[in-house]
Amino acid sequence: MSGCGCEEARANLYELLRGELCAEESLPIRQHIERCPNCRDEQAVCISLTDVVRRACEDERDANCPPEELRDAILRALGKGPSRV
Amino acid sequence: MTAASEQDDSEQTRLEARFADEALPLLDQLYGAAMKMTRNPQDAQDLVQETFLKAYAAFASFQEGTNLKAWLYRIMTNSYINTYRKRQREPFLGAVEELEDWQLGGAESTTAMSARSAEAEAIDRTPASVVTDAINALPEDFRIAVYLADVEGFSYQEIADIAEIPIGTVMSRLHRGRARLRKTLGEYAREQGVGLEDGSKPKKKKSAKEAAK
Repeated sequence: MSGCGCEEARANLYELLRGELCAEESLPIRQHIERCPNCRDEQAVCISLTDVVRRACEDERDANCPPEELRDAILRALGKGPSRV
Repeated sequence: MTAASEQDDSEQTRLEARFADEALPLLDQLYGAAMKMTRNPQDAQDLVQETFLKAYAAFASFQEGTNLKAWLYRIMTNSYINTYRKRQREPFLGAVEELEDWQLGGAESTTAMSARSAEAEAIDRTPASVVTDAINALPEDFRIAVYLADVEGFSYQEIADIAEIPIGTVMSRLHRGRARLRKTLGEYAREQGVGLEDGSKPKKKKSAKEAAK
């Protein structure tokens, strides 16, 4: 039988999704997920959680641009030269 | 003016131009992260300004061709920890981290959803405001780690460099932060009755075949 057990797969789901594992490490986990519906569902939860966090933060960021004064203040400070800091 | 100081001046001009071209466009992004760290606009503005001024002062030491975004985040994270955290009097994180394990009891076991596939869908449908509130409620070390990983897409190694912590600590903070988020979003879904819709059927012991659908 190929692949690892549920425990090892679960412990590495995020690492797999994020590309933190080398091919040798990810293969048994991929194989396990392939044939384990529960771990596939668990993976779906990881994907949803990551997506929903990213979406919410990006939306929030897009809706809250820094005020113009901030950019101006930084530019003014830069204009005075780095020795000021 | 000596030849050497003229050379210094032109080098300085070149650095200034590069800083304006490369670092300033990251302002919006850094401000977004600063808001997630400080959770208030005035502190976020101060933090971003401090970050850019420090970065500018140190820009000559920044190695061209390496990751400027990660470098700026490192300066900002450092500034945040040194300046702003002290004011907040949050409980010492060590204590939080110790509590975590028994408090959480493993995110999976707290999931009373009819199936994890239903949980994934419920999470997906969570309103953005509920998600951002849940993130804001995380202990800050977890919050920063999750933000750097999931929003900024930094690798574990990059986060370790930015926060100046071992990679194992990065993984532990991410794990704990996500487990908390999952729990909070799951609780929200249950309050809303999401994931209970198919609760008329027996919840436990779905066959593998059914769950695979």
